[in-house]
Amino acid sequence: MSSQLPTLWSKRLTCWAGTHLGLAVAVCLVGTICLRATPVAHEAEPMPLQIAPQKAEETRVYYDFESCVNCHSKGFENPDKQICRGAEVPIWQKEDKHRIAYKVLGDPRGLQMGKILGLKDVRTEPTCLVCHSSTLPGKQAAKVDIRVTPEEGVSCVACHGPDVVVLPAKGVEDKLGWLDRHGSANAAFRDAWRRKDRSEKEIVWGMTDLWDPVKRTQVCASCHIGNVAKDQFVTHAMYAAGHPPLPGFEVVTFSNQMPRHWEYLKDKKEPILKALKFTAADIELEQVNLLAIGTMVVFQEYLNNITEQAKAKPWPELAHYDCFACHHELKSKSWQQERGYAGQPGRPPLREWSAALVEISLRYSAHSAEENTRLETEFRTHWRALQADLDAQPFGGKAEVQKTSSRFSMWVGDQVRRLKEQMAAAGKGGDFAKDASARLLADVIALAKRWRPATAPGEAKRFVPGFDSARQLAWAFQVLYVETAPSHDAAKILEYSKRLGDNQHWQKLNDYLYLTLPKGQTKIEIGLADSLDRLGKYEPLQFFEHFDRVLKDLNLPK
Amino acid sequence: MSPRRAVVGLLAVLATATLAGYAAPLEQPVPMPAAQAPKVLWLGSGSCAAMGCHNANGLSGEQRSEYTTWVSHDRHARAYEVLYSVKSRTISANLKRPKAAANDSLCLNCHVHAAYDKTDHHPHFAKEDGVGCESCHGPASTWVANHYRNRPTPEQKRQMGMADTWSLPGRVRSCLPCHVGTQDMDVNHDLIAAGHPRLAFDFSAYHALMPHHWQDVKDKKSGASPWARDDWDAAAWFVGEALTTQAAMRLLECRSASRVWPEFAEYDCYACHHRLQKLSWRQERDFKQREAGSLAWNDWYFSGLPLRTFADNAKAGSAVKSIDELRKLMEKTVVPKAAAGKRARAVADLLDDWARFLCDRNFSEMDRTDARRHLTAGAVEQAIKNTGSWDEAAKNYLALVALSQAPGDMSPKVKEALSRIRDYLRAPEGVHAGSTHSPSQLLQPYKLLQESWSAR
Repeated sequence: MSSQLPTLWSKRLTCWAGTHLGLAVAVCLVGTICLRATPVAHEAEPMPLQIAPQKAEETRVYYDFESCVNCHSKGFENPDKQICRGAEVPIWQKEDKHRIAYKVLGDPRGLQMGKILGLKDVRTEPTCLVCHSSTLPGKQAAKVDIRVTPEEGVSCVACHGPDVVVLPAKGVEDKLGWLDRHGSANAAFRDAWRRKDRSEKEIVWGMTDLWDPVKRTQVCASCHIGNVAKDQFVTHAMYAAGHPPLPGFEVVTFSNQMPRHWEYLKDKKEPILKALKFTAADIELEQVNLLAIGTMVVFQEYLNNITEQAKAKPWPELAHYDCFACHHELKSKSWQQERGYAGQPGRPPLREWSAALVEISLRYSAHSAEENTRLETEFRTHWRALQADLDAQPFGGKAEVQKTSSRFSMWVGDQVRRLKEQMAAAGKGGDFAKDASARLLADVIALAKRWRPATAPGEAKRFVPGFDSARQLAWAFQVLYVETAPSHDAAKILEYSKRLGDNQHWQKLNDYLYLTLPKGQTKIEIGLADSLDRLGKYEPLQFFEHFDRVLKDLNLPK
Repeated sequence: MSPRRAVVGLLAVLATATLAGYAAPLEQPVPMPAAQAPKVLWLGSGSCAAMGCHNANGLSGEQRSEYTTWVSHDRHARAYEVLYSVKSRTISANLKRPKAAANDSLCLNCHVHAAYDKTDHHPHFAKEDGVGCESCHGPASTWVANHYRNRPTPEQKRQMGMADTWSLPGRVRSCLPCHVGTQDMDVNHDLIAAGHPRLAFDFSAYHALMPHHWQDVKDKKSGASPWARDDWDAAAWFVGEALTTQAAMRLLECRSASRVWPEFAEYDCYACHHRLQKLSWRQERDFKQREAGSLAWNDWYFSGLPLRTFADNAKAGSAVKSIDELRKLMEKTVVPKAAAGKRARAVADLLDDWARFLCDRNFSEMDRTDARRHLTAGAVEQAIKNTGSWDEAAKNYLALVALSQAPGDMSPKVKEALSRIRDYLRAPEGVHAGSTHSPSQLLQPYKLLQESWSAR
């Protein structure tokens, strides 16, 4: 599998396309976190991407994809001198499921949901449009200039950000936004834009820096996990009414499978990389960093949602808890019961997959074994505190949970910051980057070992992965295995990808966990029955059987 | 005992009944042993086991072989033993209980007797006997010596301190603390998740299946005993249901005062515990009455079936209304704890009145026929609309069996229809049928029943 980097967007729906997933009907204003005029507001959010307050005369314009199509369709004549290839729009338009995000609202499933939920029309309902289109529905629309129609689905602006301009008016000097600047025919004007820092482009001009792993993950997560603070969230009522379950989210895999309409950094030419100020380490570690940081950010967004729910929304909201802890058939010998309980039996647990790979990221960020031990201990302490709240009463007490999860989120934020610092330091030398993918891959394999269900009598019970956690592990494995191809040599990468893809046991695992998200702009319904069926039949031992064979075939230590 | 077993076995039970009957007065529940004077001692089942008394080694159910019957056939006698099973140890470990199940009062309160660790035991008392004589008949120290002298009447026995297991309400109430639950004897969702089977009590079915160590004729042939009534089977169903629902309401009230809320054991297991499917009938039929994604209150205790068969009765009407209002509270997305508890108490009080009415009533052939028709018509309607839970379907089936115990009730056609319903409701080994229940599957047998009953 290849690795890739983005120019751009990712946003709301990937998953629906995805396997068992669903359309993210939800809610998110998705990409918006970054797009909005007001600073995003998770209180505990440690890296609040401060967007400067909008000046009174400035307007945020939500442009339509037609604004991009002239340049980004046919490919540039001199691609070596361009930041991107200029062929992005057709990929989105013809292959990407984000394109049909709005359309699916009118499908029978969407209409049925509207009926059950008592909505007038899901196609105009803000809680749906917030993720299924690029418009800013509801009150927020009043503050901005929306030129994109919901029919476009999740289009360019949703992830890349709105254009911050001063519109021509009497007595006012108008000002062009990034849209005109970055694509200007005037070479000097355009170069001036190029020289701007990525963060300035975002903060001052509204163009989201999707190369930043934190930002990218937040943009995707705002729909794929949800953002309660922004009323962008698939509630349990929505699920019950028929919204497909949002699957576990892993940002590298979902980005790659969008399909990718951008180039990886390693595919870009030297002068472009220089202009964008990417270091050799950034290029080398593009995927690894995105995986490590994305994992933490996804977990943080999950915690933020719980915090916000406890703080300001009806409590409890069942959608924050593990769907499959309850939604499984009752059997006399089920793996759920065999594995025991982390806390008090009978209380809905957290969505464990969201933290499944956190240990890997912590290890990646640690400078020494001692530091790693300390971080793991801190992580477990926070986790146990949250678990204790959930043990005290079903769903946890509102006030306690708010406190514990917000503290936890702040801690995760600290770790993300450390990771980013290390990334920056790696660019200036040091050995952080050395063998990073191999180290992480070994960590993933070691994690799998710890997750294996106890089989010998008397063996201590341990965490045993559910379907979504197993998937997180397999996705991380896939990303990292290919990344271990020496020196990012294109031929080597291809060879590694092929070796994995051709492996019959990997294929079985791929089938078993539905690792490859359904392609094309098909209806969401296709694949849903099948994926849910696989989910219902999932058994951890079966997963490990496939996984072990893959390790053996690839000569990796079990 | 699982509802499935009850379902299976009940059909086989063909009890007899005849004349018009004496309705025993509705007694207040036996005072809990905890409330007994300190002198009261639990002596153990051994104290009943003299050969000349209740252990004559006769056949099951023979007079003077009550102990014999219990010890050799009744699963209550194994109630303690089961605490040593792997399953029990797992439950205990999952709940991180400080003591092993066999010494844990949480378990002993039902697997031996109520308030186990708050009562006094004679040195010969053996908890190893499980749910023994005194667990239902009351601690024996005050009456063991004289309960057989001069043939005391039930009233006299009661005065000696024996628990009322003769009258219908007395008998029902001797089962309820363990089989439905009380504050200290609560099989809640924590316990179920840890591995304990769910409780789903049905008095008529459980009573029919329990090895009888007494003579049915004393219950069912008027004149055979002071409490006998010819309409015993029908009355047992009506009274059993009313008091069971009442006990469940009292339990709900206790639960609503706990920090563990919502208490998932109040809800329909299969409303949540089912595999997620692409096309779910639940979305089509479940959300007409309640908010999408809210919890569905269980129909095992709260469907109000027997009340609904008395559509014209004002008492029944107000109880039904009250239960429906409580259902609305229980099925809110955020369940209002205090309001639900308060209403549960009010419903329980209403049911007191209702149970008294039922006890005093002489159930006629017409009552039974009407009730059966009503239940069948309801089931047909649900099958057509494809709505209703597994719990409701199972209770409906059990009701029809309980109401078809008079001679001649079980024609081959009726029997066939009931067997088909039972077979559908029964779980395949290892999986519970409730997860995949689809009421439309029951349309044919219910139509068959409808025909055979209207034919007469």
